Amino acid sequence: MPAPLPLVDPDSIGFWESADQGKFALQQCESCSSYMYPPVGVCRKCGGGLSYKPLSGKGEIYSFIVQHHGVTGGYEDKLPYVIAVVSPDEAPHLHFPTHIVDADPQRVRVGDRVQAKFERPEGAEHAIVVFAPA
Amino acid sequence: MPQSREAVVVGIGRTDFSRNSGRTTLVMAQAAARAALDDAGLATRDVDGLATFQVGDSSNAPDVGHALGLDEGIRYSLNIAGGGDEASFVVAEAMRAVANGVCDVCIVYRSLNSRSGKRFGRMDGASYIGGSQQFPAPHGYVVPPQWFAMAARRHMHEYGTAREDLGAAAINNRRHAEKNPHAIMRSPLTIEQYLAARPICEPFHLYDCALEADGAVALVITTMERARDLKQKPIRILGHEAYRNGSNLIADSSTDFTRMYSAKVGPRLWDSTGLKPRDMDFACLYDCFTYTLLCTTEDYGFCEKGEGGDFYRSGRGTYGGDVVINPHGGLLSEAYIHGLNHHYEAALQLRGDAGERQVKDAKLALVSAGGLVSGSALVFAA
Repeated sequence: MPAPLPLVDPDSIGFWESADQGKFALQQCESCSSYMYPPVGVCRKCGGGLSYKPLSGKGEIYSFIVQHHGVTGGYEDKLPYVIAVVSPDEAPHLHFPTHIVDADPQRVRVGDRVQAKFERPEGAEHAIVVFAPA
Repeated sequence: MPQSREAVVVGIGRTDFSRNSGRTTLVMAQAAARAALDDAGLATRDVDGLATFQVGDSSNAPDVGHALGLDEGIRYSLNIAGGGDEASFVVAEAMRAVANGVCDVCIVYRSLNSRSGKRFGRMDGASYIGGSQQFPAPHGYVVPPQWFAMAARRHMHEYGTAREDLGAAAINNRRHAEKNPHAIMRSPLTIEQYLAARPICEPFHLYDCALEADGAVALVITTMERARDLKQKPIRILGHEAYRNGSNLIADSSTDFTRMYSAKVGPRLWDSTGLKPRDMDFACLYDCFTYTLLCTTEDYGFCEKGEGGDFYRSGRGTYGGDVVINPHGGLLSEAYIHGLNHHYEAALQLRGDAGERQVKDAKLALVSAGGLVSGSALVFAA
């Protein structure tokens, strides 16, 4: 059984299409420059218009867990693996959910610097954004 | 609208708690409701309101009313879509309905097969997930133990909290459950056993997680005036608060992982009641995970932030300490009945009917429900 796939909607399509092009993009307000996650219609802060803007893909691990059994499909051969929330450098107050690749789960720490990478799960229409040690 | 009346809890009922009830949620709700009515000295025909909360895993209020033989129907029905966050809210809401004359006798129940039926720690078979969950889901990040473990790790980072601290909270609960004949887990738990348990999603291991269980609990609420002719000592409500925030932890925002809804609800509740944490004789704190218990113990002000582990280790949370926390063993050791069992225990203790685990001279109790960014709480009084 594969991992769940995103049910892409008009607000999120910009995120997934950016990922397909190797970019980690979030909605940014055209008036106050705030980044939004998860996607919304207009800026949560000021009501301004939003458009997807690529970020550097750099950030740090705000928190993480080491997952020892698969609660969904798709990760049976990766156990144990690290699920994390990452604070992007440009929007450190946001907590972006992801999983960490190319790292020993027992050596991952809060505050570790990470860089976005892109993977396409089997059968997936879009790439997903994962992070690796920077 | 009739003049406001005082609503009180006059009866409590429950089924056995087990790992496999072999019964439907409807039949368990019916049994718990009938037990609560017997306890109160009321008949099924007296009931004109039913209230519950559920996540698509239980029987709704009108159906349970029908099962109770209420052929004339009911005047008040409340079906909240939500989890343990809502337990104290639903009790308080039913008490407001009675106080305001919307109904006269209301049953609050929660009935679930959380072990043999729909389990909260798993998500099998979902192929596409939408809304804000479309971002975490492809990474296999979808269920509550993962969200709470993620928050716990940050608390560890900021306060130096260790697994031993989470373990101290689990052990405190278990010691209490040893004297509760209804608790599923009654064998002693040592810190060595706690630490050696299999990992689930680190930092959580087996004993950090609630005991998924099957069962039902019901409370009966009516007016103080009517309670005078009934069998049990009525339990009063002195205050209630709820807080909800859509910024769930998995989908960000500016949420502080080291504090929960209780950091909002606690101060408001103490303010509105004029009471303080140290006024409580005991507390039934929602404990879906050890971290929920540790963090909310701090947030409600029973100890300072970051001192939750020491609080439990030094015996401040048990008999002879500051306040007895979870005399029944909580969700971690009694059973995961989504927090309505905490309200049952609070009423039982305040009546003085808790037997071997009775908290001496129990007059005031905090009961809480929820974790992370949403929850509710109330103060019950004898």
